[in-house]
Amino acid sequence: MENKADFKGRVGEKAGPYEERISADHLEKFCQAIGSVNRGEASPTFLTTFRRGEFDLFGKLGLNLSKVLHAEQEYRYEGKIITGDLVSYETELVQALRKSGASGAMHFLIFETGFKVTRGGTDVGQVASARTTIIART
Amino acid sequence: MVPPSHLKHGTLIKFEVRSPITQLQLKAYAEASGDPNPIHLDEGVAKSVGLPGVIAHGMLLAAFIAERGEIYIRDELKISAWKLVRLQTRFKSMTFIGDEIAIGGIVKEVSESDIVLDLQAKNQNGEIVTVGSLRYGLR
Repeated sequence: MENKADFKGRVGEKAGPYEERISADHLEKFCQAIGSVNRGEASPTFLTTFRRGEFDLFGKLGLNLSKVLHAEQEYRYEGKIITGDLVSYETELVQALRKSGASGAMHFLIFETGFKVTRGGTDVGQVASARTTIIART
Repeated sequence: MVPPSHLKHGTLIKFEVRSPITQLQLKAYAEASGDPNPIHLDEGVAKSVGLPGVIAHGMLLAAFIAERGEIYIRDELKISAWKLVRLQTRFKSMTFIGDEIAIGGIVKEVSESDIVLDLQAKNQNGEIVTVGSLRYGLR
């Protein structure tokens, strides 16, 4: 039976805001895992550690995580993230496209996330943004 | 500040080979990145959804690409005043345990305000698994 799930009507749904304090230990562990030099600030793809909004939206949309494939990832950087920063982020489903294939429906979903930083009690503002494209099979 | 004069469209960025992907690396990456997707860790789950086996996280390949760009700008060109302002990656094919990934490419664009690198991650068969575009500027 074909699954009739359609996520167009869910565009605009948001998750968050979430907050996370950046530890030196986490930055170091991430560098070790990717085999990168620790340059004292978050490496460019460290932003992927803040995907809770995406995962929560996957859950709300009823997606099976093991049937979700990451297709594209884009980041824009306006500033940096360093140890001690408090990162706050919110994620929104901004686009949904459904394609029917031989093995069922494929959904192209795009999520956007903005990252704001508070450093030493001072609001630094937005330091980066993310645009994530996934393909989900239902 | 202007880009180095020898830098132009088409300048080659040498392919650097990474150590083969290991299960341990995927486990470490899953923990450090907080990605709970079992298709990167559990052979049974991966096969149950039609994959040939455990696959590497796309974002691990993106991290390799970003790191190659950072090394090119900071260590090879020594122009660390230029900062990454935009990273775009597209996951084209899957990467498996044991795959040996090489990252390299070309300088795509040079102007007074931008340097754009086009990088590719290729496996041991020469297949392009991930592509990345990195825009550097003076932010």
